[in-house]
Amino acid sequence: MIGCSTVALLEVAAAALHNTAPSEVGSPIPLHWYLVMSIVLFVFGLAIVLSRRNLIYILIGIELILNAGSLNFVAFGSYRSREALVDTTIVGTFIIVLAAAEATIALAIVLNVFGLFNTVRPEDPNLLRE
Amino acid sequence: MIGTVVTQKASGPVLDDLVLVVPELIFVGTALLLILIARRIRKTPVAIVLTVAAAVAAALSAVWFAPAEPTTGFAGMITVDGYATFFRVLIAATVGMTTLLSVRSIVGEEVPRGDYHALLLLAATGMMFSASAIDLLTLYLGLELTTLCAIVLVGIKVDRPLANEAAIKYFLLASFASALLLYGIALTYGATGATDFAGIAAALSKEGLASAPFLLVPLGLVTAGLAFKIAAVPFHAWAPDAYQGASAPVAAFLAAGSKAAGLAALGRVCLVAFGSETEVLSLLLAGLAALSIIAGSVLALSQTDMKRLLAYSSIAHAGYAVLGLLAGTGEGVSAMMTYAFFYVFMTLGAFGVVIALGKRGEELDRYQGLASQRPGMAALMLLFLLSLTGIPPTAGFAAKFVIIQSAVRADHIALAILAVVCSVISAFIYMRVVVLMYMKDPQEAAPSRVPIAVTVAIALAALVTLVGGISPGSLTAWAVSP
Amino acid sequence: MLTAQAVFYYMAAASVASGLLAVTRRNPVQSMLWVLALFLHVAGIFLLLSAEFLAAVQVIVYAGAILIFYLFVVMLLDLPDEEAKPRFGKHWPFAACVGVATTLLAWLAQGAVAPAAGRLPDTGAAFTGSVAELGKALFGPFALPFELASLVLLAAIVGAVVLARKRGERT
Repeated sequence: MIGCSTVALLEVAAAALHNTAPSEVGSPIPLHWYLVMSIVLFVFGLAIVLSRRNLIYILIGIELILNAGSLNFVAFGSYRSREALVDTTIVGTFIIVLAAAEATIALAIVLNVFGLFNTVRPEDPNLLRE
Repeated sequence: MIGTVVTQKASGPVLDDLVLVVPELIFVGTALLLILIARRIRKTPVAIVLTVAAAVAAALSAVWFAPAEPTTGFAGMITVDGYATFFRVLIAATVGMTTLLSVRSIVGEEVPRGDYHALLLLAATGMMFSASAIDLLTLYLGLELTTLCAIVLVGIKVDRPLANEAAIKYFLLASFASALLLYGIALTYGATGATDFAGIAAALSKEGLASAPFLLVPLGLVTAGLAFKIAAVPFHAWAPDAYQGASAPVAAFLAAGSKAAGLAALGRVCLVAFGSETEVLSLLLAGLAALSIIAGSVLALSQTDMKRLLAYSSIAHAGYAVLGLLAGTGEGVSAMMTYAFFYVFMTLGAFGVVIALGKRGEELDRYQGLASQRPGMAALMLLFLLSLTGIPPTAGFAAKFVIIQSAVRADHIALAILAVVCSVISAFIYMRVVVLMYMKDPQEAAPSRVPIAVTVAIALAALVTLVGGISPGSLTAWAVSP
Repeated sequence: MLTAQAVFYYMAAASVASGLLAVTRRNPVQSMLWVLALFLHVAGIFLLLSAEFLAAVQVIVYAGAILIFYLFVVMLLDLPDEEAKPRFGKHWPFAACVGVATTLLAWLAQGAVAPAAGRLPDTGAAFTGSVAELGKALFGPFALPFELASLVLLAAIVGAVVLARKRGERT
């Protein structure tokens, strides 16, 4: 429910901003909607990173931002040309590879930190001081 | 290369292109070898000799195989020009020196030698690629490779709570910054239809910020992501924690190598990709530079941990180096390169003395009376500190001189004055150490003998710091042309 | 036409909803499962964009491997007290403001870039997404980034082995 109304709201606002109805762009789904979707993902990620007090959640937030980035890439590519779609699909794959690599390192460190400090709150280990 | 016509070798990479990446291949090959024989390395020197040899070979091959003309390879992903060669040599030197400096840190403590050196080499490979990248994709992947290896190196002493805390804090900020950088790259691609620098520049020259002011967002995101890599304020929060928590050689590697690679990437992105937006860009960069110089100099005043002090000093130096990019000219970039070069050696030298003194070197108060116990070491520290302050006849003076000169030429007089004032402030920081060394009586026994490798590295750094001060050469010929 | 729109609406709505739930759930395992749902729906959006390969990778690698890995760690850590402690930091209103501001900024940026993309020919759903084409590009112009990505994975493997070694173990 919230999701539907959010998107609808965003869409109305987008149309108002650009003085164009979404249907005018031509394709069944205008590029703009995908971009809005990407922003929503990005903001979710940003909100998690900035507000959640749990390392695991912060990592998930970063994953969301990465996903928003690849969605953005693929949306742009898909609306540009066939070659661009191939290129951006590859970029999207690289982003997933990076996410996997980051997750590996991050979780290894989180486990170490948990073993030493018995916490997953980023503010709790505070040995490093001025 | 995405989206634009690639001028040469459009039919995919060929083996000829491999000659462009010989230094990187040497590093990767040695890293693989080290990983393979990691469990068989009984004596530390094996890994050290291998790594230093790789560094020397990479530096030599970077010069030897450097093409006469800037050559683009791998379908427009990288270019090898003077700029790339310069930073490759600098990065190779950093790896070699860091390896020499880490002799003591990895002996007797629970650090897997093979893996440690392999990670150093892989990080350096990423740095080299980000220095020669002319495509945001290669740049991003190179920087990520560097950052991931650096994070592991920071947390490599898994028994130490400090190292783990530093690693997790570094990781959180670094991955957040690179996620933002990625989003900025995606937006740049959307706006310009290209990820290669030439394509971006071409698209921007047609339709720049003036007609599409919202391009500021991707521009800002990319700049912020790169500013994080050089630890410029306000993206500096990771540096003091990471440096303090990491072992001293790793901190030195971060301070020297990471910063050099970040500056190389920032320089090329600002001059080539976003070259047409000099006005906005120089405003952004001027803000970064001013904040970094002020914050770095002022915050360093209250530090009592030597690695933390040097971290804040490195933040300030990032600010000075960025001054060179304000003008957006080859001359300015040459000043930045000069600064990066001398900064790398003087900071490695200062960290080298910290490492040579062991535990004692990491706390400011324990420098008391060092001059009477170890006059040579104290004199070297004095040299590096003078250089970091920017006092003639050291290299630091030459570097600061050219950088401030380039800021003046770019009509940033206020920034130039600020840089000079903050240099004076920073003198207080460094002189605190000098006063402790020379004017206080020793409180503890003289430090133990210094390993020969560490001495060699410090001597090399001292040599460059002195020679550079006497004859500051011109690097303009190597600079990237906008 | 209408089907595509309906599918997009569903995917978008479901993504946003599961995203919101993932952000706000107290129980980490539940939260992680909502993220899983979110990633599956994003894979659906990739399908709509005719990036089938990426959709498959998203499902197999992202949802199938990375998130399960996270789930393992969450269960391994077993954080009973986590549910009692406040979920959000004290400065969450600040975070919310930053979020809103960024949304607006990003939105405006998209406004600038969207027309640029709109001028180009619209391929619609004509692309068949042949893996052969991807493969050729991957080992053609993208060979260097591909190798770099493999180095990143190598570094991650070495890093994980180094970091996960037993504490106190001499090597």
